[in-house]
Amino acid sequence: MPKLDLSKPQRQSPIGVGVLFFKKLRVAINIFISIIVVQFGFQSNLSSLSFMIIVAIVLLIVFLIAFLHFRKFTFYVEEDSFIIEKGLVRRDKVAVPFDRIQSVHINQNLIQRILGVVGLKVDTAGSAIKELEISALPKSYARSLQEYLTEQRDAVLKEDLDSEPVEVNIPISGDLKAKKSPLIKLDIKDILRIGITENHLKRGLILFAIINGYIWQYEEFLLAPFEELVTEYEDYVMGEWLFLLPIALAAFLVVAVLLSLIQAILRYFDLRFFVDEKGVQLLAGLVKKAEYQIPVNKIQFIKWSSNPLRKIFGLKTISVKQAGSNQANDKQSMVVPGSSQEQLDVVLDEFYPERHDSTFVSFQSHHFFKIQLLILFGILPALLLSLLFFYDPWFLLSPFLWLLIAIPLAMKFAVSWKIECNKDLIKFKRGWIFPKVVIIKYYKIQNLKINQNIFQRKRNTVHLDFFTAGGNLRMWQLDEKVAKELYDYILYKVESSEASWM
Amino acid sequence: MSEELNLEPSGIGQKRLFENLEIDKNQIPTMDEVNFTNLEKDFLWMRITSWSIFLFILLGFLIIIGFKTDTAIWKISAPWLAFLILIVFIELKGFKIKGYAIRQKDISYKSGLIFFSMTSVPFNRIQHVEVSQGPIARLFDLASVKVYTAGGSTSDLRIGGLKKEEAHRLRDHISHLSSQHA
Repeated sequence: MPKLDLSKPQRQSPIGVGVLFFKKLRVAINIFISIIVVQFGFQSNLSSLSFMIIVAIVLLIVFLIAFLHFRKFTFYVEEDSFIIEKGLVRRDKVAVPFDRIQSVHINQNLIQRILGVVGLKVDTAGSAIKELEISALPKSYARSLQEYLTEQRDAVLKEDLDSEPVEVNIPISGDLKAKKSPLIKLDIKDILRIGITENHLKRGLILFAIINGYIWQYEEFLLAPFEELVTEYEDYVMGEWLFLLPIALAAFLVVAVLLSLIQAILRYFDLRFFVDEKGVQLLAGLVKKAEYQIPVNKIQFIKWSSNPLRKIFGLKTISVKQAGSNQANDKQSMVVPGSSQEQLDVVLDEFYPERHDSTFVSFQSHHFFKIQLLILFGILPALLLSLLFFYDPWFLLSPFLWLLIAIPLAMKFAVSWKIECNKDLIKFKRGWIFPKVVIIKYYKIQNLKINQNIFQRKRNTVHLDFFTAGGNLRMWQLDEKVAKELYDYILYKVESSEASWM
Repeated sequence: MSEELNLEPSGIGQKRLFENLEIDKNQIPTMDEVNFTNLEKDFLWMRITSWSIFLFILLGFLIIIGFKTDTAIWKISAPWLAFLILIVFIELKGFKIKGYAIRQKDISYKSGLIFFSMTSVPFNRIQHVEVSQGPIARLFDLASVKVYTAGGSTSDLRIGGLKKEEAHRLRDHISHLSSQHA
């Protein structure tokens, strides 16, 4: 293992120029592609001399920028902080105190793999510190840097703890995988199963939105060759939309399923998920090898979810949420698809043994919640639909059709919404077609908020917000008396707890 | 009781929440008994002043539009006046609801006439505390104290309408308590 000398500023591996080159090239291509398309169009000869010269110049500039960025990028250790200096025009000096380090990840994308280096990423807890990433290091060097940083963090944390007579779990990270066999290991059959049972509707809509956004930019150029064809068949197409719609839907579905399959293979290839008393670790990826670990005390909450297709196979997706600088960023959670109920129980027993200590008491939303959902998703859209009456009297059927679907769905959804509490834990359950469950220890909660508008005051209901460092949760239309009792109890639990939330 | 709690579907309507606790439920301190400190009276005037500034600028624009479109002046000023009265009414009524409370281990703030909300932050979950002062608040010598937690920006607690030196005193007090509990 190479010796670490971090007292002096260090550069990345020289191969970093290559990694940076491709990174910058991608940015450059994104910027120039529209210019090139607009300037040359699709008809122009791409092998023409002037085009080649422009490409060569752009490549040279990008290489120069990459080289300068490489020269200006250094990292070192000063006192109790890990420091990265970077930037050409604007010099950035980012310092992370060791005790603010959340976790250190090593990952490898396609280019890094080809060039034989790895990237190292330092996650921090504070909102003020940006994410830190070193894009090219030899693998063994990255490993020892990862070890060094986590060791330093643990040492600083331990020092802090020693000065106080508080008993807290000291995070010990390191190689978890050496000792244990994985709890979840996916072979290619499992991955295909996961891909097939993905939420295609959602994925398809995202795909549609992306394609729509891109096509619109280059509409003129893409549609120009087909213009004659389109006008010729316009009448025909418009007349036969009832016939074409199912075909379009089928095509949409096929593309969505294919996409899910490809993504599942790329992301979950050779997935191994390890669980022990120190935390969780995940290794996965075909092209981009990802390696994540979350120490046990950084876990904010665990969520598991399913969908109708996955229920058939008995598959659940587990997400482990850790404290993150950005709430909306889903990268802060570790997602493990394709877990069985037994495997989920192992995870829960490891991190939430308190669930067996006392019985859970369940609370549902007030009836008012049903009425609210009914108005919002049933009656309002139905009223809007009935406006179509002016277009064609036949459309008067549509609001009734809508209500027929929406009423049972809204009712079922409202009833599915509940919280379950025992002495140490709270569970949030919601969803009927797409059930989700979240489990939180009381002491991981940061603060609480009770909301009550004037409509709720008469009915004695409130919305109760639970804020955690891994994301926020809301219980809608809870009985006021229950909410207040819960509010007092959770505050009491948080304030009397000596355990550290991170 | 069971009807109020709406627990019928789970069949535990007769149960009380947390009756399975080792500690006596009645010993858990409750927010209901806490006395909230009201904000400075000047804060009310400050709020009304800033609303007035906004509303008079709005009125200016409305009158210009009115002249351009030949709309009768009362058609503009009547809804404007109604809005002004509504705002003043809400501010007057709502002011009594706003307040903060510091207990041994947490700090709470409540506000809102139409949308009531109360939030409590335990001292052992505070990230940092700061005092801030806007331009209008400066005229009234008022400042606000903001308490940050790791729960994201929506979870932050903000107490507006404190005298400036009071705000600084409160900030020092809170950061002292939070460092004790950390």
